[in-house]
Amino acid sequence: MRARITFRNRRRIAIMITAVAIAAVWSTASYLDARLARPEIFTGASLLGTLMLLMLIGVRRRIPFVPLGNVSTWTQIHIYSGIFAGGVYVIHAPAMIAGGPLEFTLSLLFISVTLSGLYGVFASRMLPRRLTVSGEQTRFDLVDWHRQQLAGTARNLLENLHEQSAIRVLGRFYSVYLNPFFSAGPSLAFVVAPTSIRRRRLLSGLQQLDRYLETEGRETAGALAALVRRRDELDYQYALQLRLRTWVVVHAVLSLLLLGLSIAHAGFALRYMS
Amino acid sequence: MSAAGRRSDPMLPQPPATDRPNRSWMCGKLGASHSCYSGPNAAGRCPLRDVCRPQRTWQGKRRPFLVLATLLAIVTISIASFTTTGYSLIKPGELTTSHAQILAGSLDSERCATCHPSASGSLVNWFLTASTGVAEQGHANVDQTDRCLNCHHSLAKPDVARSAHNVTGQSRDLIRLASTSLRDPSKHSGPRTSINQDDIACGVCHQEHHGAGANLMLVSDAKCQSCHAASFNQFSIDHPDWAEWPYGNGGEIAFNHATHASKHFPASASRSIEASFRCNLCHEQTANNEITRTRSYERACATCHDEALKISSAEGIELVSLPMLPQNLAASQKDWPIRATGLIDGSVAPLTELLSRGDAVVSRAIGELPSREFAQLDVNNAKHRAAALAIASGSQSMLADIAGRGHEAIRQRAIDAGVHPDTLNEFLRSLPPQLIADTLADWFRASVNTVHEEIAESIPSPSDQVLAGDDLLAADASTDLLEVNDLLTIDPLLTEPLSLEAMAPTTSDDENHSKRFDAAKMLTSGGWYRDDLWLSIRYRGVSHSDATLRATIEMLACLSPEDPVRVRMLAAVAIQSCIQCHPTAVDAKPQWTATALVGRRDSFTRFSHGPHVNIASLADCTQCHRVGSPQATRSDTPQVNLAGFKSDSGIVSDFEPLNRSLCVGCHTTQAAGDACTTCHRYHVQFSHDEKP
Repeated sequence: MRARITFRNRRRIAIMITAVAIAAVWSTASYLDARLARPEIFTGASLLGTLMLLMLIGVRRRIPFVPLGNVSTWTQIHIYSGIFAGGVYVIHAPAMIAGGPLEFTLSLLFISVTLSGLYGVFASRMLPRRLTVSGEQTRFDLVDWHRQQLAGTARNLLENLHEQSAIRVLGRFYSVYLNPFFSAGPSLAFVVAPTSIRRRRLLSGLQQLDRYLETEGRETAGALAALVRRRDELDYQYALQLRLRTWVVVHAVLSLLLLGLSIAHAGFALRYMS
Repeated sequence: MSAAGRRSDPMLPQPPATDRPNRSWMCGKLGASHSCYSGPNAAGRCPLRDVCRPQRTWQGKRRPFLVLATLLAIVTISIASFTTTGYSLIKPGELTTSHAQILAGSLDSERCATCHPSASGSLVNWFLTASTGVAEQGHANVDQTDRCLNCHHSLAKPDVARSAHNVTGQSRDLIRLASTSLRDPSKHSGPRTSINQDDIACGVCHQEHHGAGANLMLVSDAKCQSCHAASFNQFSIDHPDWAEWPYGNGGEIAFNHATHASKHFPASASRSIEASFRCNLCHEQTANNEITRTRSYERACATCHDEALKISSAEGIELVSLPMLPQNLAASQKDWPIRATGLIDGSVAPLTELLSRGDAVVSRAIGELPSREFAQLDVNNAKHRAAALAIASGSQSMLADIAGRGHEAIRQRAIDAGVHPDTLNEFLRSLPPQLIADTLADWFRASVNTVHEEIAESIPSPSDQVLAGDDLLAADASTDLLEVNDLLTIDPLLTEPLSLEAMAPTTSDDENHSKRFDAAKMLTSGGWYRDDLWLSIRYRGVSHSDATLRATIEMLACLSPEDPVRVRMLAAVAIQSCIQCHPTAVDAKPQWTATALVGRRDSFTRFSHGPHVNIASLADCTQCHRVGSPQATRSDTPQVNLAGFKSDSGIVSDFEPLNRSLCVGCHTTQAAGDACTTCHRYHVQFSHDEKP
């Protein structure tokens, strides 16, 4: 029976291999520098090769039917290759932000991709956990459909009321607070930084209506409170999923630009080397 | 979405079964009772036309975003390409101000190619040549270093530009050998052999495009230690100490600071001569805070040394001196002066020996003369007699030759003896052949006849010209006339018997003796003269900067150090008085004046007083330069009596050794800097590496 390697040990080994690889590049570059050779060619080629390796994860994702290892393994390789690339960049580039327009853009792109990658590492670990604890998982493309269902259900609850006091009290509350809440999407502020303020405010308002309501009205208010919670959870899911998806797009676009400019940079460097 | 698990949770409908993940489009009426089962196709078209408008999924929205972003990037790059010049878009950084100024007027196409030869052709051509290895025609083997040398040609010669330190491999070997003998071999194992030391491009150390204010001369210590295997972490800790620097460099002017400071200046003061031993008396500070190495003789030395120098210069040098020959030998020597007849005596003047080298008989005879003194000869020895006669005859014929051919005779004889022609001019300028002719006339009356006969014979007679016939006619008539005129300038009366009578001494030898030429009175400004007492032709020097003595020393510099003529001449008082203070005047490249050390490129170490003398504590020269005690004077010091602080390499200085401890106070990483290039120069130029 094969002994399974623990997550902690795997990370330790991966970090160690990455550190050794960076140290090897640094040593080789130092050796070349000490021999008055051109270490920047070696580090540049290493960096370009690593960038291409990093781009392969996107290719792998698009051809899932080819048996090239699971995505998890690819993600791990991607993460540690990214860290390796960061180390090689520090060795390669004369300054963190280079001087010329092309190199300046290249530096900014590399740093942006690196930072977005680091955010991705953080987000891919934190956001799924938060998504898991915030109610049922909803497919991103069906969020609008779910919103419509919640809005329709809330409207039905009000239409089915018989008690006059409940119709008057809940109707007024619905038209002022609940209808805008259910019929519109979440605000940009909520999408960027989701909070429970909106939900607590609405639930508190519904709870305060209890003293004006009879039994039927209170049951309907309770049902509306449940819908508010559902909608809030849905918006939370939406915000977090949108964040993850946006990060992937931004990271991919920046990576593509980085690769393109890196190839151009390599070409110019070789042309003007002598 | 389920409502289970919460009290009062309303029942919600289940998600539609027609949902198709990973598609770019989804049904616009998704979840409605009349939504279609298949949904829109890949192109976003609904099978139920006009009933529903399909909606993009996230994946469907992402694709146009990627296309848009790519287009945006292309547009941005295009705009940048069109609005800026090509080179400014791809240049990796600003050039230094000096280089940027030079290239300011260059065309775009030429701008990069000024330094990058591969940029001069088209991109396609570059790719082809890079892949085939065939360089563009006309630019074969031209690299960036060659482009650097287009402007920086004074820094290094093309043949050694890529060599380490711009020094030939042979010179590097010599330096390595010298340093190995001086230093601890365990700490100085020499340069690494894995680097091709004859292929080091400029760009290895000087890297451009690091900003307008970048210092191209800032070279890391690591670059130096690429070759220099002995690595020093910090100057203050493990840099080897030095013993001979800076005094080991020697100097063009010999000056004993120790004796002057402790003996001569105090003695002068006691003689009411206003003089105090201050450094700045001779070493003045220039406008840029550098320190001059010497002051002029007239301002610094003449007050005390001029009288003595006048006396020693007056001793002068001797061109020729007739020996005293015994009666029997003098009789066999044609026209030998009666004044030079007696007990064998006299010596061969060094210049006579030098100018007689072309005559093998005379030269051999001089070689047989012990100590070049005639008195050492045994007149009963036939061989010695023959030698004496040969030398006497040689001196006589040398004078006749000079009297007859003038400067050309001396020039030819000196060149035959190994003297460089350039050094002769000043010497010859001072020596009139007429003096020699007069001397010859005075000493060798009969010989004068012979000389004049030779001159007369050399003048072509009209009959000779007629006989010359067509040859003369064929030659340039003007040249012939000039030649004849030249010969005619010689007094024709000399060939007449009357003139010989006129030239004949009208007074007796004793009378001539009594009227001996007093050079001290008559030649106050120096010059050549005839001494009838000693039967010699001498030169009387004048104090400092005597051109003839100087030329004579430079002539001697052409001879090997062991040459007996050189050795004897250097021992002469007048010559000795010169080289005592100018020891480098007899070097292969005579050097009379002290040259400034700042700006010289013949040493690996550099130092500028400029930044140092601005520091208050270093304004006093003795803070670093401590004159030694005269008690430490060594007897085995060369030539000049210097106070003896002898280094391992045997170099003696009159200063106490200047230790590294004096420098480490300031020269640290945090303070004045301790990089290799702070004190060491990479680009050196050794004179022996220069091609003629």
